[in-house]
Amino acid sequence: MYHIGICDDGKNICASMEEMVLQYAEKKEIPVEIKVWYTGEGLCDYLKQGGHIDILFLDIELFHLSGIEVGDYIRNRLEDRRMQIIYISGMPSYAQQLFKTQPMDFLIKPIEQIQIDAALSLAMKIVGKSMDKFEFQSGREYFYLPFGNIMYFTSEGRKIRIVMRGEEREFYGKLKDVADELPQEFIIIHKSYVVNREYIARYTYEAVEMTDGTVLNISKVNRKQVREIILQEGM
Amino acid sequence: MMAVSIYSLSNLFRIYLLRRYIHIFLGEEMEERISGKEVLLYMGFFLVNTCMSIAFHSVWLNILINVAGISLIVSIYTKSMKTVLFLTCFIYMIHMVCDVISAFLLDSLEREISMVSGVTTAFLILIGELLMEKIVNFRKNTDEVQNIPLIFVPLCSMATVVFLVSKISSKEGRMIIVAVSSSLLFINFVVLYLYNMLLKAFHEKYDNEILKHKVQIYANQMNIILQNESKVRALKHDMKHHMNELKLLAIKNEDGLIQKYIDSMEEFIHNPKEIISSGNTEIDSVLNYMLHKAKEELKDVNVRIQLPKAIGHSFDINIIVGNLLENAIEAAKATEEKLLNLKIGVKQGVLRIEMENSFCKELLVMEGVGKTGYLGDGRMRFQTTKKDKSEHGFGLYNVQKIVEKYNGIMEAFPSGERFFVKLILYI
Repeated sequence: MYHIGICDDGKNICASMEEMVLQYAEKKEIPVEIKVWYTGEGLCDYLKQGGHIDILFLDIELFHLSGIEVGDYIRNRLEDRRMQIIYISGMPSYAQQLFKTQPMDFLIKPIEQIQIDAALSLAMKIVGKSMDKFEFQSGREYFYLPFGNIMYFTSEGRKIRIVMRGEEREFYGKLKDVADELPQEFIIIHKSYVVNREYIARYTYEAVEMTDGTVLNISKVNRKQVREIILQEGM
Repeated sequence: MMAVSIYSLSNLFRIYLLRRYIHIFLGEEMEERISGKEVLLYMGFFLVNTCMSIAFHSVWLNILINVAGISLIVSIYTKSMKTVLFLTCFIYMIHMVCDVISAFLLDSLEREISMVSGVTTAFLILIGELLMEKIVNFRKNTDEVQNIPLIFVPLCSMATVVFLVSKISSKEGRMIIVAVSSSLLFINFVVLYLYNMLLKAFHEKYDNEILKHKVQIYANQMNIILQNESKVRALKHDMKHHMNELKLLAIKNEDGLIQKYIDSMEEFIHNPKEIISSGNTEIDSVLNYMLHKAKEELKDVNVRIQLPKAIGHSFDINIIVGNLLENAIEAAKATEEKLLNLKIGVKQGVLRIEMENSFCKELLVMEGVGKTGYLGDGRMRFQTTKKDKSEHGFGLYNVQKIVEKYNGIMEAFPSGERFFVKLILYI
């Protein structure tokens, strides 16, 4: 079940988008739950009270609280990096700050079914993958963590540290063995770092900046390979 | 006296060549203009070197002074110790090799004219330099003017000197040899100087070409802005009239007509020349200019641009976009399909450009290109499809160079009837 949110101050647009999302879900036989808000405040209240959304269609030009502010609230206040945000806008130009809120896509009004289909298919792929779990053993116990929660793995001596948002776990093992088991989103940037690309805020040739501000070096041997991965990623 | 003057002349020439050698490797870090400090250092090196070798004739002292002088000169251009060490060794090695070759050449003639050996050495060093330049430029993939024919100048000069030495052995003959050698040295210097001037003029012409292009593009964008402005003004002027009209239609419940009316208003305000308005004026202007051209000449043009309003390196990005579009339009024009797809986006600090165009396979000649469009060293070499080779000035090479400047990577490859270009660079 995917929780999908639509937030736009135009009621007609909300209705037509809801229709299009439902149509996609029916065609692909995917269970979805759609919630609609007409203001950014309403959406933020819902999220503050623990409401959960996987994929959000968010209008940039909202009254009062703008879409960018809502995006910023989700990423930086609620620290939710997993939610896939798709901005919608009547204008084809974007403010610089928008790119800091890790948008998955932009749609320009008028929005057509084919655009919704493409955006949803990609978003569901990303969300679906992050629901899979990473398994590791610490002591005699087995632990499971959703891949989508893991920012990066780092090795220190024989120990491997799993870094998540505001939380860390450790276990004994070899980083290379771990890397072989990981899904595609994880890339090796250094002999002691394996990072989740979803949590990279900014790439440079020499380093990556994670969404929590940590900067991790890309080792010289890995730079070309990382660059190749970015190139092949596509739009 | 004669020996001294010819020796110092060839030494001077050799030191001038030293700068050219350094320029091959550190060209980007060197200033165009020669500074006073540089002149002082070169002259100092020349004086010390010449006086010492004439006064003492000691091989070891000579080596010491040369190595110290070269490394001192190299060190004013770069701070990296490794580079200084490498360049000094490299340049000195070439000098030694040339010295040995010329000594061997003259010795084999069994004539005692050691003074001209300096001249032949200088010619050999020049030949080496020209070859080196060619190799390095080829590696860096820069499109410089051909310099191989230039090698014939020192080559012929050297042959002349060696020939004279082998034929003439009398005392007066030596005078002739010295005179000929010095004038040959001078001629070589003048030719090099003229060659440099030519290169400079060539670069200036190229820069002018770019500037002209830019002005044209800006004028176009200016036009678009003015047109938009006047349309908005006209609409504003007629607003009252439009409102009344719409109100009347609304009273009559003519929904269909209202829609039509709004559509026609929308169409009025729409400027067909403004294809892209990402908010980034600089990039918008290039895109609007080029895409307008594309829409005129091609049938199927699809564009998707997602750019922040403010973006770094927009000048270089413009060169990339302009070049790629120009090539693509040129190629697609000749096909049945006339197709162009362009996607530009920024994500996670990375600018990404993806372009696809239809093209005629027959027009593209490739040299040893693998499936992915890479040569062994990761570079591409496509031959231009343009008929006039001199037009090739703005090409994939330039794009490649800029992409490399920002540590980016580019891929260009044909697949079936389509040609693809994909590139990323860090911003």
